[in-house]
Amino acid sequence: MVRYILKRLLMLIPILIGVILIVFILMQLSPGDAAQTILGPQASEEAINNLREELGLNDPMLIQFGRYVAGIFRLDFGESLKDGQPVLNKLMAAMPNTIILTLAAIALALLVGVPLGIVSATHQYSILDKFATIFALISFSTPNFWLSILLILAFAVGLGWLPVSGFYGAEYLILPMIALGTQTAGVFARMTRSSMLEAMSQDYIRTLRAKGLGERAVVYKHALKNALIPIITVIGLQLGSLLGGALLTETVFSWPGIGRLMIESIRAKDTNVVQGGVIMTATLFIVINLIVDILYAYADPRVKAEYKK
Amino acid sequence: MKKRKEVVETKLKARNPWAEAWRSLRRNGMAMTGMVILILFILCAIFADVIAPYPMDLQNDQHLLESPSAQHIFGTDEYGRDIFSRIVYGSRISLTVGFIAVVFSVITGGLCGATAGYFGGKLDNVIMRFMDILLAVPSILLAIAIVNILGSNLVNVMIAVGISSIPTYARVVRASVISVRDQEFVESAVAIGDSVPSIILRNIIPNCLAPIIVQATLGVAWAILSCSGLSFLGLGLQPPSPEWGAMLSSGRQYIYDSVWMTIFPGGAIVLLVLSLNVFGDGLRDAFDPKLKK
Repeated sequence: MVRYILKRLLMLIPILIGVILIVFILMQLSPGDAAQTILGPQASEEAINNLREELGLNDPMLIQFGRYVAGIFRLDFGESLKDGQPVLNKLMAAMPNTIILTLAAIALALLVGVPLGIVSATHQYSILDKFATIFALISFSTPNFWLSILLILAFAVGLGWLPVSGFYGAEYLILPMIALGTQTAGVFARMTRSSMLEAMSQDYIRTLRAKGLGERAVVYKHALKNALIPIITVIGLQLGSLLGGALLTETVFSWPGIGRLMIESIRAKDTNVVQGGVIMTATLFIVINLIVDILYAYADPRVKAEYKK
Repeated sequence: MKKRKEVVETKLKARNPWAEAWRSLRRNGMAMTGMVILILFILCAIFADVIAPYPMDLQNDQHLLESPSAQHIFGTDEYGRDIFSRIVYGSRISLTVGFIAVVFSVITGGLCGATAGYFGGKLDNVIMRFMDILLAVPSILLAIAIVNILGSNLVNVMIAVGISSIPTYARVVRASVISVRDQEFVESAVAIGDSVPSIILRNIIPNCLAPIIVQATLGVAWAILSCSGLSFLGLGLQPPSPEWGAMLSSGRQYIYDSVWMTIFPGGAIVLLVLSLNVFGDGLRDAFDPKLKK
C-alpha cells in the first residue's frame, strides 16, 4: 500500500509541472502587459520599460518560467498586479470558501443522489425510477448559473427566506450549495442506479437470496457495498466539474471564493492572480483525485491485494 | 474464454449493426422525443429568418421590458427587442458552436487517441500524460484561459470549448482502438501490407465509431453549456449577440421585474441540452450490446 501511494505521489510531480508550464504559456500569450497593468494606461513608455526590466519581464521565457516554478515551490506565486498583495494571500483567503461550497455541494449530491439511485435500482421501471431518471437528465442539462438565478428568484426574491449574496453565515450557503450540487446529484443518481443494477445481477447476490437472506440485507449489506466502489471514483472526477462550476455559481451569488476571484482578475487583467488560481485549483483537483484513488484501493480488496505482494 | 465466446456470438448475429442500433433506438420513446426536439431546434436555426417574427436586433422604444403578450410571446428586453426572435436566432449560435467545437475536438482528440492506442509504448505514454495534464485543469477554466488569449468571438469560443474537451475524446478513442487493435481483421490488414494510416482510418476507426458518436452527442450538449457559461460570465460572445448565455447575463439586471428575460433563454438552453442528452443516452443504449439482451 505504501508503495502504491509513493508511486502515485511521484507521478504527481510531472503532471503538476506540466500544468504549471501550460498555464504559464497560456498567460504569457494572453493580451495585456504586466508592467502596463501595474502602471495604468497613462504610463510613459520609459516607465513601463524600466518596470519590465525590474520585474525581469525582458528575460528569456525559459528563465522566467524557471523563476516562477522555483517561486511556487517556495509557495511564492508573485504579487497581484492590481494591489501588490502577494497572490498566495489572496488565494488563501478565497480557497477555504470555495472548499466549503464544493464540499457542501458534494455532500448534498451524495445525500440526494445515492438514495435516489438505490430506490431506482431496487424498484426498476417503477414511477419512482422514472422520476429519478427524469430528475437526473434535467439536472445535468440545466446550467448552474440559470438554476442559481431561479433559486434566487424563488427563495430570495419571491419568498424572502434566504439571503442572495456574500457569505456571512450558514444560511448564505444554502442556495449556492443547491445550485452547484444539483447537477452532481443527478450524476450520482445515475451512477448509483447502474452500478446497483449491475451488482444485483451478480451471482453472489443470487446465492445470498437462494440461502434465504432477507431482501433488505441483500440490498444494503451486500449489493450496495459493491456498488459504491465505482461511485468513489466518480466523486473525484465530479470535483473537477464542481470546481469549474463554482466559477459560475460564485459569480452569481458573489461568493468570496477562488472562482469569483479568478473571474474578477481576468477582467482586471491581473494575470498573476489568474495564473496562481488556475494552478491552485488544478493542484487541489489532482490531490483530491489521488486521495480518492487511495481510498478506492482501500475499499476494493482486489486493488489492495495487487500491491500487497 | 469469455471474450472469444462473445466474438463468435456477435459474428453469428452480425447483420448490420447500424440497422440494428436504429431499430432499438426507434423503440426508445424518450430518445425519439429527444431526437424530434433536436431536429426542431435545427430547423429553427436553419429557418430562423422565416420563423422569427421580428429581426433579432430590431429595437422599439415603445415596447421596453414588456411582459409576454400575443405580440411578443416571450416579452421584450431593455431595448424593446423581441425575445422570442432573439432566442430563435440564438439557436444558430448554440448549435454552430456545439457541433463545430465537437467536430474539432473529435478529430484532434481522436487522432491523438488512435495514435496512442495503436502504437502503444512510449508514444502512448507521452500523448496520454499530456492529456492527463490537460484533464487536470477543470475544462471550463481551460476554456476561459484560452478564450482570454484569443479574444472573445464566435470562432475563438468554438476553439476554446473544443480544445478543453480534446482529452475526453482521446481517452474514448484510445480505449476502443486498444480493444480492436488485436483482432483478426487488423492482423490480416497488417499481413497484406496495408500502411499504418490506412489501417487506422479504414479498419480501426470505423470499428470504434459507436462510442465516439455517443460521446460526441453528449459532447455537443456539454459544448453548448460551456459556451453559454462563458458568455454569461462576459468572456464568450458579447451583447448584442443573441447568444442565450449572453441574453441571460443581461437579463440578470432586470431579474426583479422582468423575469421573462432570464426564464426563456435559460429554458431554451435546458431544452436543447436535454434533447441532446436524452438522444445521446438512447444512442448509447442502442449501441451497447450488453443492454440488448
